[in-house]
Amino acid sequence: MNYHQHHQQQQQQQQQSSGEGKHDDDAAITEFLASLMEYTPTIPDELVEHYLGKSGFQCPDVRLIRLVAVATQKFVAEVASDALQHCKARQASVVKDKRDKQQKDKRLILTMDDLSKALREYGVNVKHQEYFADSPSTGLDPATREE
Amino acid sequence: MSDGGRERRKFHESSDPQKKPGTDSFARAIVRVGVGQICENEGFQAFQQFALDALSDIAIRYMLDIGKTAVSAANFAGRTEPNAFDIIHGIEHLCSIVGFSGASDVDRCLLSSGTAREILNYVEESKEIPFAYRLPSLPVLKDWRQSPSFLQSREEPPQKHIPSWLPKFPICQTGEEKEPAKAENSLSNLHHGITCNGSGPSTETKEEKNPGINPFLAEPICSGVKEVSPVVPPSKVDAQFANEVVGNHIECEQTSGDKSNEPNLGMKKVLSKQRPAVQFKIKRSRKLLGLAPDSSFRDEGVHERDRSSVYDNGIKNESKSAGKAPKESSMESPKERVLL
Repeated sequence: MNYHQHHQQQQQQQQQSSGEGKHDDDAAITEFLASLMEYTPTIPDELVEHYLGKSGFQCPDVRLIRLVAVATQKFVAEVASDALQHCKARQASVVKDKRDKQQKDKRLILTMDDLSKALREYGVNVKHQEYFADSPSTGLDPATREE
Repeated sequence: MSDGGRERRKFHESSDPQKKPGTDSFARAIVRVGVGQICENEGFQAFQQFALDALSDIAIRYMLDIGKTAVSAANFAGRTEPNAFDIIHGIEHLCSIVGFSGASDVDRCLLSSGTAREILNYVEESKEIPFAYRLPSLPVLKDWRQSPSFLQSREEPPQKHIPSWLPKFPICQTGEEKEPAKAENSLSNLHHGITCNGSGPSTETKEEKNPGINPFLAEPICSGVKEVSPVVPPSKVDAQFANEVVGNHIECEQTSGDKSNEPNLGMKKVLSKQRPAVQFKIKRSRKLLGLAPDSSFRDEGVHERDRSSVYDNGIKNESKSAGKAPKESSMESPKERVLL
């Protein structure tokens, strides 16, 4: 009997705590989403809604759309910052060799090389053709081309 | 000796293969602008076009992937609308490659996951970058007015096979009611070219007057002999006249049968006075339905070519005046087929 009572008490306590937990969860969600609503993401809500609609996501709540927009912006910002690190590292190595070109290479350009290196860490393989040749014999020696 | 594909390159450059046609090109351009702004905020001063395109494409795929994962998580839970937990689940799924704090915890609340905290930190620390342009609502739809159905407008459909709940046929810009069903009939008549019982409008009027005569149920033509209906090509003198003629041929029904007969008579009169010039045009496809170039087409073929050449002028004039591109494309197929 004692054991049963103890078990029932435990169950009641668990139910109460889960009920409270649900309230806590609701409050936590509301807080989390409210803090997002204060921030205006760069990617517009209409655009995010358009692309989420393409994947079957239909939700009238703007806060959820803002959440996706912020997450996408964060991802792009992280990739861009990694690419910037690669770009600066490349320029620093060049500057060491040729200090005359220091002023010319000040401009930070987002190149495919830097982007592909940055995206590789995120599991995205981006390969870009360096050049396109007119014919298979382009760039070969004249002797071999004649053959 | 080839020129190394310079012509092809020029063609490709002029057609601009990077531009993907479709409704998504506008949204993609907006994503490009947004991604460019984000990269600029990070410190970049210039972008390679391919790099910006690639990054914007990846951003689009990121959004699509979050949406897909969130929807599937909601469906697994027996819901149709995703909530915040589903979205965080989707974000975690994408961040699992890089890793986040608390990923190995089994009994973790999604709100307290590393991804949610990282997003909150990003919101608090990063600078707000508003989008550079004002956006219309996406997707950008043209001004589309739904045409009323036959039931709604309390009209009977012209043909029995057309159900009344379908929308009404559009009104032609010349002010006469156009019925594509009959237009299609006339076009198919032109395609065959054999089963026509005369010129376009007269066939429709004849069909109206004599519903029993169905050109499609006419007797099959023997292989050797090919009977061609006497085609009355209009003159090419007046462009406006050609417009009317083309209108008669394209538009299936005149409001009254008399009106349709008059231009035919007029055409015949003009024809008797002037012999229209012959224009030979070589088109890419010469596949005709059951038709073969035959010497018996000599006289009628000339007329047909004239008519088709008139169609060319008529179509061009009409396209210029009305600005209807799909009409031209729809007319070009019979034009191609009529030409031998």
